[in-house]
Amino acid sequence: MNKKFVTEYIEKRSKALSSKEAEELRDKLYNLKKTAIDNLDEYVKKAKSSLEKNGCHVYLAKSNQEAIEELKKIIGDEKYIVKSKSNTINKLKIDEKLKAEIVETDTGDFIAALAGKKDPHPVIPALSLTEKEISKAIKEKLSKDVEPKAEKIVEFVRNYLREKMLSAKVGLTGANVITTQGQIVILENEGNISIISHVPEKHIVVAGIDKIVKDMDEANKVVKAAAVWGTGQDWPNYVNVISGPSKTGDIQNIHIEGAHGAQEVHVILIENDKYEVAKGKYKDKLFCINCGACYDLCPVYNAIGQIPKPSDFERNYKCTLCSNCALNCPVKIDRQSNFRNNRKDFNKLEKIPQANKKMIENVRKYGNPFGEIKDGDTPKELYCC
Amino acid sequence: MFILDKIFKGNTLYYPGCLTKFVGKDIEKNYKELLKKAGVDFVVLPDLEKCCGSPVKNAGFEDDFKKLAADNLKIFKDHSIKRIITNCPACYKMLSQDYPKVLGQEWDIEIRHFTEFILEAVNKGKMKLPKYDNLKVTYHDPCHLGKQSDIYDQPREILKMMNINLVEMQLNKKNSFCCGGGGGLQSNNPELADKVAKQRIEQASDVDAQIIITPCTLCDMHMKRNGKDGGVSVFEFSELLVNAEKVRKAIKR
Ligand code: SF4
Ligand code: SF4
Repeated sequence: MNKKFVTEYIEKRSKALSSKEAEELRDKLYNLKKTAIDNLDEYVKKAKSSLEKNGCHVYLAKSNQEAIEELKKIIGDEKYIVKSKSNTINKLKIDEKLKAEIVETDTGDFIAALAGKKDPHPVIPALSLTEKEISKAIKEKLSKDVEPKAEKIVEFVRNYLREKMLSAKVGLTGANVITTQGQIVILENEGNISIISHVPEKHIVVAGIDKIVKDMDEANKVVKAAAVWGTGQDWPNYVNVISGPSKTGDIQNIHIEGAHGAQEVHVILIENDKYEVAKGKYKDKLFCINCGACYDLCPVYNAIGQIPKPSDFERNYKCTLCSNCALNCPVKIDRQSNFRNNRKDFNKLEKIPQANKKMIENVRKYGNPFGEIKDGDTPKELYCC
Repeated sequence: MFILDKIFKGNTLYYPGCLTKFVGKDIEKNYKELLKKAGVDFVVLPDLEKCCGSPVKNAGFEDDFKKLAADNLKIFKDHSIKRIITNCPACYKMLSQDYPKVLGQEWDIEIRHFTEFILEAVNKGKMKLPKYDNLKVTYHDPCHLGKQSDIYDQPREILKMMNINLVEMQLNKKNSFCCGGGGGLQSNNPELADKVAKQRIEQASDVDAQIIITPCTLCDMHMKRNGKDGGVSVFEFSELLVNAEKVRKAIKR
């Protein structure tokens, strides 16, 4: 467990927002995300048409596979593309599926890729790597000697990546929020997203349809929460708001698309099973803004580096139901109830862990989880706990 | 007068919860003693009352949970129970929050956690506390009692009244980490449960606490088992109140 990280995070977060403000924001976020997910179909249609009106190319991909096909078409024969951190893109496994080399431009991702060891934390992929390990990985993979000090490593990464970012033809990013009015909002601290979304000729945005909210007012709330709950920051260093390709009308008022920024903006919106989920009892999963706060205070994640997952049979029963994740979620996703509800589903399928089977049999028969207990006896197996 | 009082006001039930009743018998004894000391006229229903349903609900057997709640309601009504005092945080959470949800208005029994009760009794002069001058203690918030029921201050106040030097772990109150004992983890993933416990105990060592106190039989048993080799001893809340000698001896070692 990285105790220093956890305590510093909590301290920063409580300074960034008082608990009263935090609760108010959580309520607002819950409501706005709920409205969005309850009206998913309409939100997607509106966002698509607004983005197209702004000059973006929009693709609705039914599945990850379809998204990859679209990506292939847009990227064409490019030898390499520059990419920023995105959990949606990570799920596409593009490094295996695209011909082009993928250059990670987020410092943490870049390092994690070099070291071949990625922490599952959604915001801090190099959380578990020490300076020494990183310096060793740079030596091994890039044959460069870098002093094992954070500032030296960052300096090396900056210089190494700068050139790549400036000469790339395609920049690939995710999006934190997309609005029904046609804005793409991407937040960051490092500045790499500002570069790769503006400098290469093509900017490709890949996002789930659950990222759509009504307008910039709502988007700002998501940005605030992603900063506060994600890293304990008050506000991110950069908030990129993109609503179309760069353009100019400076010459004779003739509208030319492609000025200093990207000449083409492509938006791939992935559906997967999201319409289905939006109608079911687990729809709050789609409220997630990927801030990672649930990881930070999860005792199990801190103990073993993996967070319990409600819908996965094995990983569900690694949860202690302590409720830290639910209480720390800025959009109030009730993960704790989800764990129980998924257990209910597993039970119906007769997928019941041995100890729970014993426990429920005992309760039904004897009114307690331990079984028949004679006077003065103490049960040996504790099926309740 | 006394009997009339009872007819109008109903009975007070001490509900230890299954784990305390069947396994943590010394703890049950302690709490009964405390009730007697405070002059509370209480009843117990060890053979009639059923499991509160916490492990049942947590394991995803919602229908069984509802049935247990209804069964218990009937048993309690049959015995004119108007107030329940329990030491178990999980039972407390079920009885005070989940029973009203499934039983509605029929559930009109007042639920008190033992730490609330003790604080009241002490403030009314009905209970005396032992003193532990300069003992450095940290308090572990049981998940069901702290962040799930918002009882953070009462147990801490009682500790301070005992002249205890209360030190907080870095992760405390609403940020506190689970001991790893709950949610079915101990029975479904014992190794992981132990890891989580050791992680919590280490947080107590970090602030140089001599002992960890927790008002939860489950947390207590789980951390006791996992803290054997470390420098911190673990005690259940009632031990501090009733077994002062035992506690003092254990720390001197
Ligand atoms: S409820 Fe489960 S997943 Fe959530 S923080 Fe606690 S142990 Fe982790
Ligand atoms: S579930 Fe909540 S806390 Fe976890 S990443 Fe998503 S928004 Fe953040």
